[in-house]
Amino acid sequence: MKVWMKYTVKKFISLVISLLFTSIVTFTAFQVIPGDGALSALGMDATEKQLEEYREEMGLNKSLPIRYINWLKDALKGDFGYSSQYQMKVSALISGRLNVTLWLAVLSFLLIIVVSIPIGILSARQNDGTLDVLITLLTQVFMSVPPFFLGLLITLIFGIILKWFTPGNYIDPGENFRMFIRFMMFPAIAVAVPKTAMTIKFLRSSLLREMELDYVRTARSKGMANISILFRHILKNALIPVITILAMMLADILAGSILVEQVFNLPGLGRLLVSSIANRDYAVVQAIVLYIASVVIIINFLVDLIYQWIDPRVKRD
Amino acid sequence: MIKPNGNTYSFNYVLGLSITSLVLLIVLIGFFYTPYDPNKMNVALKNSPPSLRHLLGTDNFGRDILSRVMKGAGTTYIIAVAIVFIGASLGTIVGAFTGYFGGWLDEVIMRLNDVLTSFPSILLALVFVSIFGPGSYNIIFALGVLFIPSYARVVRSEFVVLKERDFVKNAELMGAGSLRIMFVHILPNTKRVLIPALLIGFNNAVLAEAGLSFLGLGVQPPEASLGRMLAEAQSYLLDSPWYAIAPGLMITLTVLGFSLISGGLENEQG
Repeated sequence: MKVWMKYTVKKFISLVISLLFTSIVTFTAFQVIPGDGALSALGMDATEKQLEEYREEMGLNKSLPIRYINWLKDALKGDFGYSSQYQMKVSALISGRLNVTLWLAVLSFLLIIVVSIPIGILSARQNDGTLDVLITLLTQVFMSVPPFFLGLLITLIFGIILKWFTPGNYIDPGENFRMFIRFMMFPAIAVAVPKTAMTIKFLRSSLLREMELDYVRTARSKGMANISILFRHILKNALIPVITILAMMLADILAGSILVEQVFNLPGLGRLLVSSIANRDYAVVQAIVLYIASVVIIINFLVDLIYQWIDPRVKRD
Repeated sequence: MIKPNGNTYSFNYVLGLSITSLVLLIVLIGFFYTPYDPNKMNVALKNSPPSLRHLLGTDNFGRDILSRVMKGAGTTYIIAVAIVFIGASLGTIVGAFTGYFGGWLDEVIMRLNDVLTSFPSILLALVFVSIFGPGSYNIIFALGVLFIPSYARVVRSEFVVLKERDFVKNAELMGAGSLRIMFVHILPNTKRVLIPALLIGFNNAVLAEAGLSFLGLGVQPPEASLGRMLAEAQSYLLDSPWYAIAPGLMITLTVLGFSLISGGLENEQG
């Protein structure tokens, strides 16, 4: 078997194990909650017979492993049960909210890449110049601002003072896509700024590390111009560790959007999660947690694969 | 600022120390004295902008924002210290044992660590809160437990390296017990990485508390905490925009100060 196949298979097996493990944990975690599922679904004045029937119907009287397998089977088919808060299917509820969160993640991710790469290069080229010192300090400052506070500041400055958007007035993409993107840019900036700062800092140190290596000296001694060394040799190598950081950030972006959705009143997955927690709507919480966790695990898997493709040294470890 | 060995500290390190001292001073004073009672309402003065009487203005109940920030930052700090204490002490024990003894248990625990650390901690904390309910004690417990893996990892990697060093071999030859070697001989040598990890951990704890309280799942009213205050400020952004600035700035300065210091410490050691 070729090395890359062996590596891929190994990673794939660990992907499956992680997903299974996560599903078991998500399922059992919510079984320790005290209280009777049937009683809370039917209310206090349900008769013993009704309760029994409900338990029978929902499979609540079966043993834990059997209930887990049933739950997993349904979950794989996309059925996560009913939301007690919204009185509708969890899957329908989630698919309605997913859009917003995905757009938020995509927009912030694009912002991070577009802004951080040029600034990171600029900062590394001017190593220890005034501009570099300024950029380094600013990145530290921006890394320290919590995204939800930034969201409040953006609402205050661009929403209330400059009136570039109406705070809280979310526009549905089906209604007016351009206005939707325009509105979403502001929460996306709030999510992106701290992560952009982090990427700049990381890219800068990665570039500086690469610049000291022998191949750069060789390229320079051949008489290659600094600028083309940077773009043709250094950047490619320096971006490898940055890609890992960016991919790990995707998970953080998803988590960060939970808070930012709250600030901007976006009807996304994060706000649904928070309101379901507050209203003890466990079927929804379970589904969202499993969903986000699976996305994180699959992203990590893909990063491992991309990584071995860009940097073949990885496979030999 | 000059170091004992004659070199100068980096600008960022000094800046970090100054910011942190200022912030800590405000919090420390807040434990003993606040200009007004932080929970005292005064309807006549509600949503009044910063003035000489109320330096940072008042909130929607006419409560003095400066007093609330001082007290609230104290609450946030106590929670953060408790979280780091739980995470760091248990994490150090786990890391010390797995790093020193190795073996299959080490493998298992480290794989588990990998899985846990790849998830955003706020998501795990939310799961915890949804099961055990909101409140300060619950988030201390939840986040404290969630912080264990990161410390276990840091301490473990140091132990793996240090246990091969001559001073450990010497101690073993002299008949010192494993526990003594681990905690008297090796542990003090991990401070190079442990101290920056504690500072960063404190930052993460402050941010996590603020985030959870902002969502209404952490500190419960009327108690003030920085995140709680931001949540209240959000509803009154139109009437009293100054309300959001003070607690938000306090969080930012806290995090900035500690990360500058920790960055400086890491650079010192190369």
